Amino acid sequence: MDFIILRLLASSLLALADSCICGVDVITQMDCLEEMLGESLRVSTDRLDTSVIHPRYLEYKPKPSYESRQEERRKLILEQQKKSRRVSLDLHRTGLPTTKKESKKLEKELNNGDQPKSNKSQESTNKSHEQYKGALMMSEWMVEVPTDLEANWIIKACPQGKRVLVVANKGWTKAYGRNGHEVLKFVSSLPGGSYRGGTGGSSTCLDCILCPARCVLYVLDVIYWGADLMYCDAEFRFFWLNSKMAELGEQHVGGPGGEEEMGVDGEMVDGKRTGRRYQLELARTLDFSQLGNLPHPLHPDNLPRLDGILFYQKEGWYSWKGGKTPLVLWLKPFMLHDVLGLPVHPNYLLEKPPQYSSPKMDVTEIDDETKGINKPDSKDAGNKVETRTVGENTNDNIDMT
Amino acid sequence: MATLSDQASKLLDFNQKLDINLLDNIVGCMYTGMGEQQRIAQEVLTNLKEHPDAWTRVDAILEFSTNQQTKYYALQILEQVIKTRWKVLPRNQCEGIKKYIVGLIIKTSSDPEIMEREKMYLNKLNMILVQVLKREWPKNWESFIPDIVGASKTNESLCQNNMVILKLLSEEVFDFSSGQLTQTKAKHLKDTVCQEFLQVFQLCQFVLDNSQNAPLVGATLETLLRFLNWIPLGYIFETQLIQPLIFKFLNVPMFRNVTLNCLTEIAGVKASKYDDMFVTFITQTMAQLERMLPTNTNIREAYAAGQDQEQNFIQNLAMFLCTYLKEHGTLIEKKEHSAVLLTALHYLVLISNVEEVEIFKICLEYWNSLAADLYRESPFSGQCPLYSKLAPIMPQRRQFYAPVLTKVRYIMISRMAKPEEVLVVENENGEVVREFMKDTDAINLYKNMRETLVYLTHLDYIDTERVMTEKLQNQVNGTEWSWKNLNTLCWAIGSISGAMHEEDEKRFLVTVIKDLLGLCEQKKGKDNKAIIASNIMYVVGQYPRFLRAHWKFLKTVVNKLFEFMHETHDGVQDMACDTFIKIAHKCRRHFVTVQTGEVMPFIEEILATISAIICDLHTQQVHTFYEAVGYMISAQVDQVAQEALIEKYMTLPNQIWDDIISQASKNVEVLKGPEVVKQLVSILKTNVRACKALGHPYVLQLGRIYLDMLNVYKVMSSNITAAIRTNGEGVTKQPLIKSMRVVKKETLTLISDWISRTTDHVMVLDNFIPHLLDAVLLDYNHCSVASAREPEVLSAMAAIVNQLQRHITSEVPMIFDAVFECTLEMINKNFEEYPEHRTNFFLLLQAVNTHCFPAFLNIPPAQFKLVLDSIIWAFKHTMRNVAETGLQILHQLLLNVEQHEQAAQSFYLTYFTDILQHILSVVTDTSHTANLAMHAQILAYMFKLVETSPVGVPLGTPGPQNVTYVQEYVASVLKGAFSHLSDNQIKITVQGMFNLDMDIPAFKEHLRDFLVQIREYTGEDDSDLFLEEREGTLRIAQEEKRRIQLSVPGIINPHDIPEEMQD
Repeated sequence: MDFIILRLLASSLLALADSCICGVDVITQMDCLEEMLGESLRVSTDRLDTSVIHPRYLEYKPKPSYESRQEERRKLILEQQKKSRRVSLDLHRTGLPTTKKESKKLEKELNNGDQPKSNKSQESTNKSHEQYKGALMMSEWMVEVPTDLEANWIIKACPQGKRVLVVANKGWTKAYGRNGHEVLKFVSSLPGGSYRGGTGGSSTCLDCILCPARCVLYVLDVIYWGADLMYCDAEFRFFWLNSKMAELGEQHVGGPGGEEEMGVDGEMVDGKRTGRRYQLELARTLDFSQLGNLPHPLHPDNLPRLDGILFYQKEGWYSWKGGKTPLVLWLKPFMLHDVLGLPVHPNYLLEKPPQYSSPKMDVTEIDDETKGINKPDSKDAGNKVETRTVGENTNDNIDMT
Repeated sequence: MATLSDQASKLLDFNQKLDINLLDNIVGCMYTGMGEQQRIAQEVLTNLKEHPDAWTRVDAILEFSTNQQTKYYALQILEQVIKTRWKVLPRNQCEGIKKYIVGLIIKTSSDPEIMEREKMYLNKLNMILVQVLKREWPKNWESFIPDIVGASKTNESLCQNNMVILKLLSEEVFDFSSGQLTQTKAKHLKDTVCQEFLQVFQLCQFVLDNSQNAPLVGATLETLLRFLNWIPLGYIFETQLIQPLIFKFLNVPMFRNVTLNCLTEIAGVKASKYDDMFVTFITQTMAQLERMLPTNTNIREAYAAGQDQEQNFIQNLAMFLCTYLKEHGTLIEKKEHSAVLLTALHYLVLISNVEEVEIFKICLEYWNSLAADLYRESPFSGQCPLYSKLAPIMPQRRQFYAPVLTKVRYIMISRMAKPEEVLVVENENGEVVREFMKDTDAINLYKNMRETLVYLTHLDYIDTERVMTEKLQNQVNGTEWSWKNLNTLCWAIGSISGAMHEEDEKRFLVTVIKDLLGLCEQKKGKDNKAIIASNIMYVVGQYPRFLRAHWKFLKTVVNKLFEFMHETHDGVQDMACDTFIKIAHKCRRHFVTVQTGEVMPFIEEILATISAIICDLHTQQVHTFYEAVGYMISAQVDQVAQEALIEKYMTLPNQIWDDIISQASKNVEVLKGPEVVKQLVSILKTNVRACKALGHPYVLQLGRIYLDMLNVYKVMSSNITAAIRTNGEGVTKQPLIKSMRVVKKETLTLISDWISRTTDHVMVLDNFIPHLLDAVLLDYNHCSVASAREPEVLSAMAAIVNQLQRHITSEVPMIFDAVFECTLEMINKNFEEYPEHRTNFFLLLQAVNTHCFPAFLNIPPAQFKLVLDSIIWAFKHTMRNVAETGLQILHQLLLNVEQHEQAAQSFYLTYFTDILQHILSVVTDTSHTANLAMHAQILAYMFKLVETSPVGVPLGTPGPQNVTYVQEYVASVLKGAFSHLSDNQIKITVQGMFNLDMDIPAFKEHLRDFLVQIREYTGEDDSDLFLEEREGTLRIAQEEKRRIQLSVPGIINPHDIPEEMQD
């Protein structure tokens, strides 16, 4: 009897020791697993994608990336843009469409693609969602501060909402989500967007944020309005967009409309809308000097909230179906402080998403990381970030949240 | 064309001589003609067939017609008359027909050439002979067996056909007798066949031993096959039957399939008396098989390349092996026979690799029972980590089977079926929706494979793990890499969740996930990455226990899913939402508690960023997302904290809702905008999902929107009515009107869903019901266009009554005032219109009857009569669900009435015989056979009342005169309806109904016999009489199975386990 008990005891001790070792093993393994899952399980996004957390706020130290720096990629794209303007080169590799061919294609798509569907078969719905899937130009996180930020970038305030592509043609205005599915169908006074005043085959294609609670579409960018603007630089596109919107406002309201509350759609009686119709409004453009003292709330009742700040490189074309581009950068409002060192209204810090609530990396690690990313010649562009201590700045914010 | 029908009328004039050419023409017309002409031809032929004297023309047609189809038609007439009117024909006519058919069969079958040429015709003749036999034999045709056996010896081709007749007879009597023959008749026939079987058996044996005529031998084997499942066992085991089957016929390609089928029948015999015989039987058969099909054959390839015959052989072989091993496998587990067993198992492994899924299912059934058996024999899993150094002694049988089971593991893992099927369909409101299929063939296959693999894992989890790891390595190193293989493997990995010990499971999962993540990094291309990502998420979602134990990992997974919700690659967003809801459901508590290393519960993070998370999802995915988050919030037990969460949770939809409502309050026209209606639909659906997940606590949100929602309901309703009034019914097909109806439906769904999830009756009655009745019921009642009434109003009311039960009795008169008459008005014109209103109306009636019966006692007699009439109306429906509801209501009503003595007496006096008559009329109506059990129950109850009730049913004074009265009444009703039945038949029927009214199954059999009797006259097919029993047995078997399953850890999918066992 005793013998058996002893044996049992011994073996159970052995087993215990075994499981302890094993346990430690599992814990480190779990950490490693979490990192792998967070970092390498991706389909079409990468770490600069704005739908993932800003790399500086990650819970774990990101692996060194071999992607070249934003600045370099930007240069490359701009050079290629120039080249293609001169010799009309095939630029497929960068994700930018060839000028003529693609341009024709877009016009064709806008005019023919959206045939009124006679039978809603599976196939036809599939096709229509393929048509505009991934068409929108997406921004990247600003991980390095461009040296020419004040001089060569246009800044826009981006409200919270659903990113949509608005296409007006053949009498209807439709909004498509990023995945190409139709979200909204309505009548607007955009060229091609209604039967009023004879649309005559004209089309419009805009890049917008949909805010359903306010029934407003905030226009960020324009791709087609009377002409194909895809291969025009951002500065010109925005000029064109502003003047066209102003025209539309005058024509519709019958008087000069302010840029802010310019209702181009929906019936206006005494300056108030009467129906629940979708209106188009320009997203606000900001001067660099305004960034330091952004008012809060930006919209009445803070609806919609300010989602983030978009930075457009003035010379960049619209990257149609090209996914994200370093020519457009993105920051959350509270990051203006952490990344650019600008003062931020405390309410923006209160609105900070919880994932960002505590800094996950200390300074040295960031230094390491930036060195990892940056090639040896990174002095000029990178130092602005490197000298800024993200950890310190975010520490201040904890008290406020 | 007119001439055709003119001429045709001549055919129906039985005073004229039959114009055979004309008939041939018309039959030709029927088979080759087109359109109108064909229709007329068919009509003429049908009329002729139904003419009571049509059979008198049969002999002339058969003799003179040159057209096979005409002859066939004549035989159909003959068959009809035999089936329905045989007993009313004069005896000499019967004898005449009998002789005539026998003569024809002998004539046709005596010459092998004619027999081959007129196969179809002969077959029909055979069938007719069997029909005659069923009525004549043995009483009027004692010598049938000696006759047929004697005749067989005269001529080989005649003998061949006689074998066919014997086969048909066996099938008719033993396989298909139920419902065709009364119980006693069937028993009588079976006894007679057995008594006289010796002669038939000797004939078979004689043929098999001596004949060189292949078709004859084939027919004999086919006949023998039918006999094998009922003949006394002595004929099989104590005669020289088995030997020639194995040694003479099995290896002849022409006979091998039928022979193997015979052997399978024998293998399936349960009789411990012949154990030795069974051992010899399998040893000899296996030896023979090894010669025919060498054990190194690649059966998978052979099957793929084989002809029909060969493919059938493989299938039959699978059947044979599985049947034998299941019944007698243990006999050959003994050492001296184990070689045979191993060979058999080897074949089965080879066959399990055949691509064809039907064959795989046969093998699967055996593997499943083997694995289950080995596990149950000693239900330990070899997995107690504390004593892991003491290798447990594996039971002998497990050791023996271990190598085979390893192969079976490979098979299960590399063939694992798809666990869920999603169908993308457009619903009646024009929305494209994804439906999860519950009960398809593929899903049942998955369930069986899963169960098998779980048992196999319990038997040796190390081996299962090893095989899975190996297969995973083959994905990583590329040798087996393909989307299909990866999916299959991950389904297999996900299927054994819970079967391993937790520590082992953890270790295993860590390796699996790591390898898969590595694979994802390694593969290029979005398509590849998307597939791998989906598989990782599938595996992770299958292991809630693992997730619950590792908070940081769980959080990383969920954040990753949020990331995927922005992924534009096809299918990734759907996958992310589906996985998210699965995880939210199973790990809900972990999201509302503050985890170590965190400053707040994770739910707060989700709610703070909800708009960013869902901004790229489309509407339906958003609904799924909300339901998932709702489950998390439902786990917060602190009421105050929970309410704060709900408030935040509903902020987004409420913002839009508030804006719409405030716009609408300024100008109600806003609610006609298509986009606005669409948004309302979406918001309401979000609320429905939130309510589903939250349960009672949803009341906070419901209270917030309740009154506005009812107002929107009224506006939608009046918009719809106005649209129909101006534009006609067609307008209801327009998307806008459809959406408006969806707003109404979702409103009702939301309210009744919440009421069915709450237990606070007082709150419901005081705060919600009055407004609901005001808005919804008045709207229903006042609706001037019947088709605009929402049938969901009725089902919502039924749900409310079912939930509130007696508490709502006081409101029932008001509910009835609003919905009863106006709905009855819609549905009492016929049995088809407004099917949804119909179904729901009776469901409401049922709910009220069950829970608020006293309300019926307080309504005026006229209205009560209306109620009763509508119940009778219900069970006369041929829509099965309506009829069923009607019968259930009636039964419950009778039971309820019995409890109220005073009301009972006048009820019985007024309605008893009326109800009895109506029930009898549906019992005997062939379109109501599906409800026979319910009919029997009600009738038995009513007769019992007559015999035992102290108040005297139906006469009002107790005493035996009640019984006599009812017996006479029933007899007269039956006699009136079925004048062809004899007084004796009716007397016995009525007597039986009283004798058996305490034993419902017997009562039902009695009713069924009666139905067979009346069919002799009406002559209709009644093969559907047994469907419900079949359903019943299957269901009971299923329940029993589930009960056993619950006792084995891991055998139930973690997502199917009832809640109380969770977390």
